Amino acid sequence: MKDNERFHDLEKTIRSLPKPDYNKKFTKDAQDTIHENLIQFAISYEKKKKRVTIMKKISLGLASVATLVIFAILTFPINEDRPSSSDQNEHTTTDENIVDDEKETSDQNENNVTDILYENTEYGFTFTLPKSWSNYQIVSDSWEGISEQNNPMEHGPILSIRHPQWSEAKPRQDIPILIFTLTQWSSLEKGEFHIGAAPIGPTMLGQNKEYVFALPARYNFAFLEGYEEVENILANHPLQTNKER
Amino acid sequence: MISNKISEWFYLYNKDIYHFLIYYIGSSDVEDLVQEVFIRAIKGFDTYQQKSSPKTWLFSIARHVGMDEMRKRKRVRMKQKLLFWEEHTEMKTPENILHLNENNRILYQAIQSLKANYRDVIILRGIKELSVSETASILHWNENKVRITYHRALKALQKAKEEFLYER
Repeated sequence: MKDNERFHDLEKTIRSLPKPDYNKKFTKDAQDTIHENLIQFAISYEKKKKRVTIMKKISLGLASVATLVIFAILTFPINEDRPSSSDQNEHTTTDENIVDDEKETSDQNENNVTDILYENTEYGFTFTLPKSWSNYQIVSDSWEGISEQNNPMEHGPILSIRHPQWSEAKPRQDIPILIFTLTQWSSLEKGEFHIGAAPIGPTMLGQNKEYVFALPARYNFAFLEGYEEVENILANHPLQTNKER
Repeated sequence: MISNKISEWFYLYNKDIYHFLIYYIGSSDVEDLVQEVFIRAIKGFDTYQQKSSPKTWLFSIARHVGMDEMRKRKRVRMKQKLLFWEEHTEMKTPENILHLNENNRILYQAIQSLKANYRDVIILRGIKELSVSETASILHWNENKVRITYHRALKALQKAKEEFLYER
C-alpha cells in the first residue's frame, strides 16, 4: 500500500517533468521547413515508385513475351515431329508397300487440293498445273516438219499453255506441247524430218493410241520469266494420257 | 496521396515526436530525427496497416529512429575514446534545454540510468502519458506486459532516484 502511494507520487513527478518550449526551440518556422522537405521528398518518392512500378510491369511483360517465344520455339518442333514419329510406327507395323501406296494417295489428295487440271478431250490428255496457273490460256499454233532436202514435209498442232500473268510487254514462259500422230513420231525418230534447227529432237511427254505429246527442244532458250517454274512443273510428269484412245 | 496524409500527420504529431525524442535520446538537437521519422513513414507507407492508429505507428518509428541514433552516437564516442581524442563541445542536454530544477534533474538522470525496457515504458506511459493499449501497440507487447513492466520500472526508478539523492 505504501509502495503504491510512493509510486503514485513518483508518477505525478514524472508527469510534471517540463515539456520543451516549442516557441523557442522547435519553432513554427522550423516545423514548416521540415514539412516542406517532407512534402518534396514524398512527391519525388511517389514519382520514383511509379517509375519502378512501370519498369516492373514492362520487364514482366518482356519476360512473359520471352517465355512465350522460348516456349513456342521449344514446342513447335516437337509438334512437327509427332506425325513423323507416328509414320515410323506405321513403317514398323505394316508392309512397306502399303505405306508407300498410302503416301502416294495422300500426295495425290494434296495435289488435288492445290493443283488444277487442264483436260484436252480432242487429243485425249490431261495436264496438271499449279494453282497459281488458274485462268491459264491455251494458244493453238502449228509445227512444221522439214525434210532433209529442206522441203516442208509434215505439220501438226502445237498447244501452248500460257501463264495468266503473261502479257506482251512482259511475256512469261509458256508450256508448249507438240502433238504428233504415231506415224509422224516414228518418221521423226527415224530422222526423216526435223522440227526447227535444233540438233536434238523433241522430248516425249506421253502417248496414247493415236497421238504422241512432246516438248520442243530448247523451248526455254529465251529464259523468260517463270522458266524455272515450268521446269519444275515438267519434272513432276504433269501430262497424263487417256489410255482408251 | 502519401504527401497529403504525411502532411496531416506531421502537423498533428510532430511536437509529440519531438518531445519523445528529446527524452529518449537525451539530447535536444532532434529536429533532424523528427524529419527522419516522417521520411521513414513515407518510405514505409505501404506497410502501414489501417487497424493501428497513425500516432502509435509514428511513435513506433520514432523509437527505432531513437535506437539507431543512440547506437550511432555510442559508436562515435567509442571511436573518440580509442583515438584519445575528445571533442570539447558543449552538448545541449535536456537538462539545459528544459531548464530542469534540481529534483527534476535527478529524476531525469535516474530515468536515463534505467535499462532500455524500463526507460521505454517510463517515457511512453509516464512522460508522454500514453494509454496502456497505445504503449502496447508501440512496443509490440501485450497490455499485461506493459502494466507489469511499468510497475517494475517505477520501482527501479524510485531506487535509482534514491541512489542519486544519496550520492549527492
